[in-house]
Amino acid sequence: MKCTRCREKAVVALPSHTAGFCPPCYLLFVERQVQKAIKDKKLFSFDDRIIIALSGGKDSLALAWQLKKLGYDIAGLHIDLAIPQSSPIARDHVERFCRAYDINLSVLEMEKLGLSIPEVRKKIKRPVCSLCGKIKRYYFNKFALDNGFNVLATGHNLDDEVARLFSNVLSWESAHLGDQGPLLPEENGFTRKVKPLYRLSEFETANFCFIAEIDYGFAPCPYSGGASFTYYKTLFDELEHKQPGRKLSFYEGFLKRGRKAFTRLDLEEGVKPSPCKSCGYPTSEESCGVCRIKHMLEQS
Amino acid sequence: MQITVQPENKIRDITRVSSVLGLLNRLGLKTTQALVIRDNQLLTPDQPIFKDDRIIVRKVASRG
Ligand code: SF4
Ligand SMILES: [Zn+2]
Ligand SMILES: [Zn+2]
Repeated sequence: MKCTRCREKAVVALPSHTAGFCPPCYLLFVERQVQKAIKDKKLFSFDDRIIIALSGGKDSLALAWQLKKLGYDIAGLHIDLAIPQSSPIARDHVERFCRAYDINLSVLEMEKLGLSIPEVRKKIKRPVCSLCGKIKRYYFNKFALDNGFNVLATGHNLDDEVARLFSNVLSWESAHLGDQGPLLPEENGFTRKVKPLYRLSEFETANFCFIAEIDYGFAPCPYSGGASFTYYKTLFDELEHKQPGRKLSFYEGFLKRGRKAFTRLDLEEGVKPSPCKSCGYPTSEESCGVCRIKHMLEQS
Repeated sequence: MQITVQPENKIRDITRVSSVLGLLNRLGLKTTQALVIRDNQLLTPDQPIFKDDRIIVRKVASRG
């Protein structure tokens, strides 16, 4: 197979774009997909201060690499969850990456904040991933606001987004459908959230990391066993195989034609968040999720 | 040929396949579910592979 751009030997074949690319042209392809996302969805500009949530996995590192290369004002934030089997490996990858690419990194240690995930899991009888997700979202948002960042960027890729969308559709989660997308504007005490990799599949970011020689961690979290969207991702792989390009058109179609209806519904029926009575974080209840988790830990 | 499937790092000996596509089919993978790597180079599905090759099949799913 030959590169669609320059006719050299291709190393990546992309049925969804009916294209193949050699290494340099592939890097260019990814860069353009990211630029297109940023421009079309007005995610951010060179004046914004962007904090990137770095998990140590391929997507978040790919995102940081690309935004750094494009010259945006970025810094990294890693949350150390204190899970013995996976957190040290993840943190090590993030620290080495940021050193290598000269990216300013902050690390928040959940252990020091009394929220080590193994402890949370032991003491609170709820699905650990939902608690862990709450804690991470809370600290990413809080860190951004407290430190003068006006944009929080995450490495969610097309597969993540499509799986989430499909899951929300299956249960007609209208509130979640109303605010799903690559851009969530700043409002009600939440910083602006963006997903610049939303046009790239997991396969595409994995190839990107290989070609850009980004060393990422793949020590899986020991609690990810029932990882929620795994099955939907597999379903969509089947569909994409039969109908290349379907994933992206399903998602873009939702953004263009589907989402508005749910946003409107949410404006009519949704509850507007107000500040948590203990910490000020926006919540639809009296205490925010993380304050409730802390409270439960104290009581156990 | 010797195939290392990542991230599990399981080593499998596979015979009688002559292309990357054939290899992926044998492993039950779609072409966009794994990177196929030989001598630190990525291979597209149409590439031929040979009996003495050592190949890494790196599944891309970060399912978790
Ligand atoms: S798999 Fe669950 S517990 Fe583990 S890091 Fe992810 S959200 Fe947290
Ligand atoms: Zn090329
Ligand atoms: Zn609170």
